[in-house]
Amino acid sequence: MGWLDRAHTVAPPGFNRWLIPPAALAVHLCIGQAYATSVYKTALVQHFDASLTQIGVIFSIAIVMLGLSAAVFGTWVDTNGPRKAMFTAALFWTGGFLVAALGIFTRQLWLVYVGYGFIGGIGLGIGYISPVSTLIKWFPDRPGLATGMAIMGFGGGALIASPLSSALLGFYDPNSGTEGWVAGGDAVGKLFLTFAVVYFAYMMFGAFTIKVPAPGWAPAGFDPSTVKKKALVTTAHVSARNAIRTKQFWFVWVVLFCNVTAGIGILEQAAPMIQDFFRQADGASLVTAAAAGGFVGLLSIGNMGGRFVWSTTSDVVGRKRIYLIYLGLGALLYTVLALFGSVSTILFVPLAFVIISFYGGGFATVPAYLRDLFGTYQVGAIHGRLLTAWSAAGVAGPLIVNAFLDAQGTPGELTAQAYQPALLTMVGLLVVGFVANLLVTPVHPRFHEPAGTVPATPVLAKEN
Amino acid sequence: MSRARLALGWVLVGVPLAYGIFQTLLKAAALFS
Repeated sequence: MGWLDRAHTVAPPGFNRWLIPPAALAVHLCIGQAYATSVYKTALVQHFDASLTQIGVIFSIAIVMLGLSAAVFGTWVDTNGPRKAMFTAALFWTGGFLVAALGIFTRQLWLVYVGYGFIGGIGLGIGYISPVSTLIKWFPDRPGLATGMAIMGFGGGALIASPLSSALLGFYDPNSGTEGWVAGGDAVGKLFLTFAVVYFAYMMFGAFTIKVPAPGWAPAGFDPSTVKKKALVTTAHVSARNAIRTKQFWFVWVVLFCNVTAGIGILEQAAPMIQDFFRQADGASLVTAAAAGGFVGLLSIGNMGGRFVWSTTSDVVGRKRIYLIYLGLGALLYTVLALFGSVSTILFVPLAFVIISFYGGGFATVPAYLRDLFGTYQVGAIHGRLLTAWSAAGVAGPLIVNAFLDAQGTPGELTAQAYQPALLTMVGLLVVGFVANLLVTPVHPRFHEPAGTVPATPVLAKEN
Repeated sequence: MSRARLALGWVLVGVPLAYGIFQTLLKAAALFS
């Protein structure tokens, strides 16, 4: 298996660095399917005769495993290189689909937990961080753009998987098209088998396309001395082991946790929320179920677009400043949404769209923020450890929102006022994140690796 | 060869992404109808 090693992935002279983003996208577009599980949720509830919560646990296990495996395997990914990491991620992610399909065909829900949740979740974590450090090294001049492109793929993966799943479920189920149709378990099992094959092929394309730059390589025209001019950007290197001992790591952890929790506050309840905000005195909503579905789709676009647009913008305005916008302006917009969102959908929809674009931007900008603070040496491993904030937010966000809404009344009868305590709590979280971001300062030199122990700062070279 | 490989790489990821965005925009259109 030496052909998977980092040493075999060093780019030859003439290699075009713009091949790296599609390689990274190929992996992220596949693992982004994790956010399209709602398409077959009802089908699985009926197939297993289970509750929504029991089926929801599949997704929860996968997200928790994403954070844990990214944290545990981060150093391994940095050491062994992106090709081995992507290959391993493909085995876990698609293997998870195969085991879960077996669970569906044999009606063993625990096998779906193990397959999609546990095994697939490990693939999610390794796959998510696998291209990040490589992209940052290929694009030292535009790290925000590079990671934004890849992590945009995670949002885009759901946009593809959602309509594709609906189409394939209809194709595989002979009863599709009948009134009140819900896909059978057999169709979901076949869908999983299809995903396993297609995603494996795509992830192999990514694994065998990605390459690491040769030592000392830098893009033409890139002057490393311009990096030194920015106060928060270091040219030194901090190991993953040392990074978690710095206050900066934990401030950024809090920033990501608060930003993600607040975003989940809207995403978790998007469809019922817009209907509840515009519920009339007679109990009917001005927003139909189809329009609410459209609203969810629009938020998906905002989530994906924000990852690319805001992360790219951070290359110009700086990482700390862009997080002040995500969290500060985000808190302001969130407050307006909570207090005045029910005035008109013309106000509500753009506000939610921008807030969710900040949520996506927070995900995509954080690898470049870590690069600025800790250098490129083990940025993938540090990013992996930071993603535990995502796992924690994935649990905290829905818990906060559901706890407040449960206390306010019955689903389907709630109004805009019922959402205010939950939304204003999210505003408080955003303010906490804003303060944590303000406290981020350059890392003390005692955490830096000794000079000469890590690869040298890129020198000017001809771009290939 | 390099340019062809580059184009193929972007087409492989761009086409599914364009499909996903198009389908989602169709769904989102219901919000404004």
